[in-house]
Amino acid sequence: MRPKKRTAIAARVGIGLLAALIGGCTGALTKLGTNIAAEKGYISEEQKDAIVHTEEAFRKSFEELSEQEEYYIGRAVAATILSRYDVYENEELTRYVNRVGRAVSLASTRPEIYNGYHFLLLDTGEVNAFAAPGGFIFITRGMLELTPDEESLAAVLAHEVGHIAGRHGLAAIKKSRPIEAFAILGKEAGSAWNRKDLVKLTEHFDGAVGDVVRALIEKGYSRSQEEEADNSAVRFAAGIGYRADGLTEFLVKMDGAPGSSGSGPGMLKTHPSARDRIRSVEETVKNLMSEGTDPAARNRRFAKETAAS
Amino acid sequence: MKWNRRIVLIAATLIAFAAAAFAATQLTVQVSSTRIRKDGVFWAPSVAKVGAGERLTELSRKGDWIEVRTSAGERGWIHSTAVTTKKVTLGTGSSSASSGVSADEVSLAGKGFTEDVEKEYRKENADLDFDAVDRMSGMIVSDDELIAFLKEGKLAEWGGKGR
Repeated sequence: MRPKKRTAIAARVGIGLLAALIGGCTGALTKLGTNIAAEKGYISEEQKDAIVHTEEAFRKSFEELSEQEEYYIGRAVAATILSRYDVYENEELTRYVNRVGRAVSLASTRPEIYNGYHFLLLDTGEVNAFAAPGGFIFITRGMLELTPDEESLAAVLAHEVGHIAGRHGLAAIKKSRPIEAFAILGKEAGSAWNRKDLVKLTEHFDGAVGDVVRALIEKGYSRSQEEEADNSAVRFAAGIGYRADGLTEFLVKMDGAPGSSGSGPGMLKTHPSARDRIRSVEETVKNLMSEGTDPAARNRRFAKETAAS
Repeated sequence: MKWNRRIVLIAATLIAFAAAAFAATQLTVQVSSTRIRKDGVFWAPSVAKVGAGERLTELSRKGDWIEVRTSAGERGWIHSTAVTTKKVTLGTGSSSASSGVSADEVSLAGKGFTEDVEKEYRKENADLDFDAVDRMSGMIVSDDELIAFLKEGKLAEWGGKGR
C-alpha cells in the first residue's frame, strides 16, 4: 500500500471513531458503516436508506414505546373500560383508594410513570380489577367489599401496579403492530404529519388498544405474569410498611366467596385459582413478614373510610 | 514521525478530549412532570419542578435515586424511572428534528402514539368515555396529603422500624 493511501485510511479511521464517539450511539455507527459502504459503491443509495430505516424500525418493539405513547394507549384502554362499566361515584372513598394506591406505587419498581397512577372505583358487584398501561387502575365495588382491611386493599392495588410496572398490558400487543407503525415513523420522522400516515398510525393504535383490552377483560394475563404481579404486590406493599400477608388474607376471603370455582365473570375467570396464588407467594410473604409495621391505625382508618360504602 | 502515525495520534488526543467533555451523563425527563427533591425519598421537600424533555446532568447515584443538576443550576435527587439516557428530539415541526434522527431520539419525539393519534381515534370511537378518563387523571394525591396519610398509617419512615 502506498504511504498516501495509508495516510488517507488512518485519517478516515480517526475521524470515523471521533464521529462515532460524538454520536454516542450504535445508530451512529450503523449509519457511518452504511454511508461508507454506499460511498464505496458496495451498496446503492436506495439500499443504504433501507438499511438505516429497517434498523430503526426493528429496534422499535412494544418494549420500546415511550412513556408518553404508553400513556396514550392507556387512555384509550381506560376509555374502553369506562364505556363498559359505570363509575362508583363516591369521592371520599375514591380519594382514600388513591392514597393507598399512591403509597404502594412509591415502593414499586416503577414509581414514576408518565402522568402518575390514578385509581377509580367501578360500580359493579363483579369481583375484578384492571390495570391499563400508563397508570390507570380500576377496582370494582365487589372487589373492594371483599377486602377485609387496608393491608388487603393495598395488596390488591399493588398487584395492579405490578402489572403496569411489568408492562404486562403492552406485552399483549401483537409484536407486528409497533414495528409496522414505527416503520411509518422512521420514514417520516421530522416532517409534518402526513394525513395518510396519521390514518395508518391510528389503525395500528386501534389494533394495539384492542389487543390490550382483550388481555385485560377477556383472556387475562398469562399464569407467569399473574405470579409476577402477585409477588410484586407482596414486595411493594411490604416495602412501604404494610404487612406482607395482606394479599394472602384477601385471597383466602376470595376463595370462600361465591363463584370462586372460576366459572364466574371477572377476576375469577381470568386469574389462577386463589389457592394456587396463595402457594405462589408463600415464600415471598414469609421472607417479608418482619417488614410490616403496626396495622392498628390503618385498621381504624379502613373501617372509617369504608363505613358508608 | 510519519504522517499517518501523527494523524492517528491527533485523532486519539481529540477522542480523549471529547470523552472528557462527554463524561457527565446527560439525562432527559421522560414523565410529564415531576419534582427534584432535597433527598432521595418521595417525601423529601421539592427543590424544583421539571417536565418532559428537560435535560439534567447526572452528578451521582444512590440506589434508585440520581443526584442531578438542572440547566438553571438547581441541584437535587430524582428517581431513576423519571429519566432516560435517550436523546430527545422535540415535537413535530421542531427545527431540531431531522430526517436523519435515530430511533432512540424518535422514541421521545412528538411522533408515534400521541395526542394527534388520540384525536383521530376519538373521531372513530365517539362512544368511548374520554371525559371520564380526564376526570380520573385529575385525581392527584399531593405531597402534603401523601405525607399525612403515611404518618397517620404509620407507614414508610413513620412506622417506627428505622425505615
